Amino acid sequence: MEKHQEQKLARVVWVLVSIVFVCNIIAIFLVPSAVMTNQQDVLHGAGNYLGGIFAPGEDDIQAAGVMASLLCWFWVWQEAYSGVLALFLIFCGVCTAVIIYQGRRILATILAGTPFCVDNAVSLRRAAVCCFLIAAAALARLIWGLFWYRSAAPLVTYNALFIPIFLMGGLLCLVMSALFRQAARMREENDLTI
Amino acid sequence: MYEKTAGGKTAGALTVLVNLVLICNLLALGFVPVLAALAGSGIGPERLVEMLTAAPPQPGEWGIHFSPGMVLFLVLVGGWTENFAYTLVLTLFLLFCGVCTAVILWQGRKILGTVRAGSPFCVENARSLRRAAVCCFLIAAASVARVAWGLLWYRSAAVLAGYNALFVPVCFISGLLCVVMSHLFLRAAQMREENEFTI
Repeated sequence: MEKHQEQKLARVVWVLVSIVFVCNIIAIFLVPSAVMTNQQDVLHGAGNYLGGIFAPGEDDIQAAGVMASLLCWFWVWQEAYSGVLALFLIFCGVCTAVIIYQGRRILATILAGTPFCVDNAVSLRRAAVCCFLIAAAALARLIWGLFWYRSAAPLVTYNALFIPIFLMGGLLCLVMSALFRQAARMREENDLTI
Repeated sequence: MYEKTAGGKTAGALTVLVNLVLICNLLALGFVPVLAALAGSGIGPERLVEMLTAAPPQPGEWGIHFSPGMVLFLVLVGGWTENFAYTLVLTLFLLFCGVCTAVILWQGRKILGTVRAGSPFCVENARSLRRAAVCCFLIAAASVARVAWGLLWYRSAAVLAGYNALFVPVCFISGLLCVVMSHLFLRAAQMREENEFTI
């Protein structure tokens, strides 16, 4: 069977999405250690933590660093700010993992040559729910931040930007879900026509 | 058709939001040099809000106090003079990305227009998605260029752990997804045509 061009491309995206999925799971595991290393900049915190393990300095003990990533899962809840941050990031991480997993399923149907099926519409609806959950979590964290700092500073952070982005992402997934359902129906009609 | 109506309604709500974002995007483009200077000054948003809302000294009390306008002016001048290279690169990067995102949003508006009109499976949508994909790849390329500049300028790997480095895979994968979706729309358009010609 001759492969369509989108199937070749879908294969590339499937591989990339699978890599991102694995990175996502690793990132969820590293969240508490990254938060405890640098609360203000979690990405740099994760970079510093991994740097200490893979490129240790004279004072770094690798085994202790690896163990710390497990212990941080218990330590991180002791302080309100780091606890809220870790909880938010873990929740969002799980939601993004579900979104990526749904994406992988959709790409698998494209690879199989049957992209227009009801299953894809269902997958996109699940992804939409996860997007809305992330937007809701970001909103909850923003409100918490406004009360915690008693200032408007949390309004100009990446977190505040997540709310409209994921709200719109969720709506987009819903629209795409409706389109896939419509296309699936059209394909069925096509298949039944002699 | 129920699905069509449900999709059309959601597309209507999304169109309103996309329009709002597009307006914000175009407005933000004008403020890019100011925002880049704020980032270049090294003063975080919390400190800046503190400085802008600081109470003036009481009568008889000694202290230097600048009006919010003066504070903003000094911060901007600081960003463009003390940290010129960083501010310039950030300004160019954000302007370029801002134009690309405006084009992506415009293509999104066009696609949503066809969804609301009840004719989503058309060749024009495939073209729109391809244009959006090109813009995604351009943003990814600009991010690569900025990361490469950061690595050479700061001579530190810390740049790799920034949000900018995260843009590269995100925009690249989004671009590829747009290309795949473009092909799917094309196939769906062909299928619709076949359906229409069948008696």
